[in-house]
Amino acid sequence: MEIKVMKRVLDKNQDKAEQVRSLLREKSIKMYNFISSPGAGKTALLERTLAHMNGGIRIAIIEGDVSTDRDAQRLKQYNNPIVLINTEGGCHLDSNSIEQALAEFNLDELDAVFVENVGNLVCPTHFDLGETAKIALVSTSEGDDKPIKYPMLFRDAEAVILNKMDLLDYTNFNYQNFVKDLREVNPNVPLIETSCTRNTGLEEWYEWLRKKIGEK
Amino acid sequence: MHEVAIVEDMFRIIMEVAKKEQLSRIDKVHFRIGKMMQVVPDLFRFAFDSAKEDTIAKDAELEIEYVPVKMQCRGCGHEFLVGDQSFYCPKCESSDLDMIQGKELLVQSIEGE
Repeated sequence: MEIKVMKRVLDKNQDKAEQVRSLLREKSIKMYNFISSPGAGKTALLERTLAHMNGGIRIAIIEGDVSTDRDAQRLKQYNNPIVLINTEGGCHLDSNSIEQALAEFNLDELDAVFVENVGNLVCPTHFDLGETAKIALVSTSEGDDKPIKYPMLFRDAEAVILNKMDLLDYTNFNYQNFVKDLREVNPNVPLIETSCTRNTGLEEWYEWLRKKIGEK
Repeated sequence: MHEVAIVEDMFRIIMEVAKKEQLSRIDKVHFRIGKMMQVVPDLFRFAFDSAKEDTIAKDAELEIEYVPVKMQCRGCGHEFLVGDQSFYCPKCESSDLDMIQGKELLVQSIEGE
């Protein structure tokens, strides 16, 4: 006998994400979900951003890591509230763990939450955390084909950061192809070019962020 | 890797249905996957075969229907399938599009006794 089911998988994650989203809206908090490959520079970007925004915008961090607390340790010195989620091998964060992490913060004293997702371009894209927006980060050392290979992330992202611009001349990264592919997938998304180690291009990122966090 | 998480949730759903319908055996699962979800077929089948061991679905077959990505233009209303990841309306070249198909992860039906 055949039984019609017609049930969506990952519905529970989606439902919880919607609850998180409405909680954050109620508290006027923006939450950004940072997604990239391992080593693209998510933690470095957060380090720069926390140092720059010191005191101006009240930011809490949810740090997703497969194992170890190394990234959380790097971010501790900025004195922002921080919660580490250790996925113990899991390749993405989910909305349930985000809800639990948010419960550790005093939400009345926050303007924004930055979620550093597990380094991976596929899985994190498919699990809604209840974020305000996804930020995609790519680096010049990874190759220029990421937007076309992972279109869902680059379509969903509200900003794309191209990091390690200082290494551009030492790699075979084709900048024209990258921009062309990105525009095929997402014609309008802002592209911000940075070097977190050399501290260049970040003003544009801070400006974008300040504007977004200030929006109702 | 999200294949494993998807299969786990699929099993939660099919076991709920099997319990409600008092099935003692699941023979087949019909599942629909949108192309935008980047599910790797081999990994997905492997995850399914691992999950079904020692359950009432241990001999179950997995039938997958892949759904292409379909967009609707917000400008001219034209609907079209996205073939080569180019997200422009082929009629009016607008980039203001709604994805109306391609993100499915759906347990359509199960067969069993």
